Amino acid sequence: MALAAPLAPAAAQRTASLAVTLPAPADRGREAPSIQTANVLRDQNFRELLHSGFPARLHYRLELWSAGGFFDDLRKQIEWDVIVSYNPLERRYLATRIEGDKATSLGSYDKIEKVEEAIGRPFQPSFTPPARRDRYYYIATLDVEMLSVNDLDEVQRWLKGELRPAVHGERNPGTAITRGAKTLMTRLLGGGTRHYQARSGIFRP
Amino acid sequence: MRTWLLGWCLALGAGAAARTAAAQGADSVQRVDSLSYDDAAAVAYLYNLPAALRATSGVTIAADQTVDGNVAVLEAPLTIAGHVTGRVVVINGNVILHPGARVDGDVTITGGTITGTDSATFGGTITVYRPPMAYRMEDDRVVAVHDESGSILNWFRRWKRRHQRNENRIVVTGGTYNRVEGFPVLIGPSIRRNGALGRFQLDARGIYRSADHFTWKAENLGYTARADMQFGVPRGVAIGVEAFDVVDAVEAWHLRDNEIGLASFFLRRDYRDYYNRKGARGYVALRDGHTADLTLSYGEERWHPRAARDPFTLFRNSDTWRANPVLDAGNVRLLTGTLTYDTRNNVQNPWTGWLITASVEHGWSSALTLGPTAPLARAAAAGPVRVRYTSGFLDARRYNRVSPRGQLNLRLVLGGWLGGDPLPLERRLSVGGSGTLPGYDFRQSLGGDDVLTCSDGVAIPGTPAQCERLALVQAEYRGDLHLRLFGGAGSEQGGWSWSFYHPLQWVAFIDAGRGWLLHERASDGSIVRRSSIPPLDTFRSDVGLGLDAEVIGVFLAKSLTDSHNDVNVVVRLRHRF
Repeated sequence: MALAAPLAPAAAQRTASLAVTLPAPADRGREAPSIQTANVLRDQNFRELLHSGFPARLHYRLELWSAGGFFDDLRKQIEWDVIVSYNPLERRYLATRIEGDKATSLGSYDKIEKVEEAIGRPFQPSFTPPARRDRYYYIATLDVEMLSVNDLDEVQRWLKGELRPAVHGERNPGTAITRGAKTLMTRLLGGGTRHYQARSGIFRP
Repeated sequence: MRTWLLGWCLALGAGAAARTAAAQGADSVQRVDSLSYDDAAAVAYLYNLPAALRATSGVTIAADQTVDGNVAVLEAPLTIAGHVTGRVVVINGNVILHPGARVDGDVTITGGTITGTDSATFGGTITVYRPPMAYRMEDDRVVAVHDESGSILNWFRRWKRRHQRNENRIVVTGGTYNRVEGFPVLIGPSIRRNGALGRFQLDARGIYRSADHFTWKAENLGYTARADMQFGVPRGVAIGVEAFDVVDAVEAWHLRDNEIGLASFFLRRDYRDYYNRKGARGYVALRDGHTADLTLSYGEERWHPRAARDPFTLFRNSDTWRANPVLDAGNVRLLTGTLTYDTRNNVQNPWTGWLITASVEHGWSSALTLGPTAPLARAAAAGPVRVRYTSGFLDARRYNRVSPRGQLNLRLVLGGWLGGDPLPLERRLSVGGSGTLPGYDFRQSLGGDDVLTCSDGVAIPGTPAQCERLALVQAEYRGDLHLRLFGGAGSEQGGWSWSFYHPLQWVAFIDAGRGWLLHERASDGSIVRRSSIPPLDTFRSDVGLGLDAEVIGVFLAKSLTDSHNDVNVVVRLRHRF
């Protein structure tokens, strides 16, 4: 039982998606759900940045909510990251999953499509499911950003606003207004980071 | 290395040969949670040995099929129902065994799983390395590469701590674009040291304002400097001192800084009033990471009014800016306590938790020159007056998920006079506008019954906030639409790749609030002290609907209590609150 975003199955072949899949009913009190992504690095801009040496950060968060009472309660949450980087000397993409202090290589690949496939494999995080027979559901979120090129942060700083590019004297602060306005329109509406959400159905362990 | 690998593999082979009886069942599976470079090199060696069947896509060995030799599979699943006389090597793929499957040699898997061992027969060992194997291809050969996950972990840790590391840097920052300063450019050093006792932070900025084309003159210059020493991180006690000569906002709580900057720069609409603060303060703070902060400060500063200038805007550049009201002027001493309590699960997109900000301020001045107000708001004075006051402010927000798809968020704002003389204009309050009552325009005049700014129908340039007390309640229900405004299809081929990846929510909201003065006009026209909270039927309220895509939202708001008010269209950056 899973709900993914976006939901349309035909579009899911091409568009980015995140899904939460519950274990078999008998295992829901013992096993964590599976988190699966697809096509989250498909965008050409991301790929160009990745190829230019900027690592991509896929930040996952899995939340367990209880559905009793008037308000739902956040019972537990866990976060992990997947870092995708490109080694121009070896012309290979590296994918690494980081859970706390533990890093797990997801492999080294010569094509971005293979990286997509590797990071898209179902993953069961180290997460102890609920034992009580209440009603629960999972919420998974994924934020994809290119590290060091977080233009949305730059826009926020500009509006408040800190001008990183001018810090090292690379740009004239006087041009920052125009540049900030342009960045605002392209990044704010285009999205410097991408946010995905998916949730499971309600279940009892 | 190759000799060692050969020895390792021969040892494996010898071990397998020693097993004359076929091993069966899951007990023979050796699961390994790590994959060293040496292990990977050994697996690569096995993979590159001559194989009767080699595949890079999913392959199935049927029940009636016998593979006379080794099987090597790369990045693909292998299904065995038949017989393999040699060894099986699968790099980064799963092995599925059907009942009756038989493998005479060893089975080695990286980055995958094996299922069905209970009903299969093995002549060798089964080794499953959980981590995927890092490798590169040289022609058809697999070459193991060093696993860089450790170095990537170290790099990622450093990247995440980049905001807490020791640093010395020159920073160029900017304040919020507004009609008094234009674009304030701030330049200065930033020093941070993490020591055994805690964290020391020193920030100093010179301020250079863009109004009047960056003319070098006193009103275009300012500064701010702060030294903060926190003993214990993230939970600890901090002490600090601060000196400043800045333009500050009267009511910064209505809208966020980026919304003010955006509206000012693009639309020539500035929804704040400003005054100049020059002075210094010291403080002691109890901090618990980002969750809680209790600060007690004492400062002495000089307030003086600032006039609106004529900074450039992208649109409506020929329009006139709203005047900046003339506020009170003089030297004041401030004893302030502030509390911040934040338990939100996500700062940008909260679904549960509290955000509470509260402050109490006791201020006094021996000579404060009063700015113009309505007579009902404060008695006029010919010259400077002695002032001593106490004010308070509370902004409490509660975020609640009511279902997997919906949330109900509540906000209560209370503020104003707590004791002493009437509040200075710098501490007066108002409601109305995008951040409070969007069904009303910012600084909308309601004539003599003005519960938004408490003007009592008296026109004062800039329409300053004059209320001495305020109450505002906001509630909103947010529901997922399961829609995305734009998808990324077609972007892979380049060209048009503009896309928007944020979930869309619908929002229904209701707001109610008003401000009031400590004195009111009695039915006989006399002015009497207000004895209680105003009746609820005097509060102004509005309702609205909107679409919120996390980073930007568009809302329609209509006043419930003033039917002649038009429907307002409001654009907010991030959520309403």
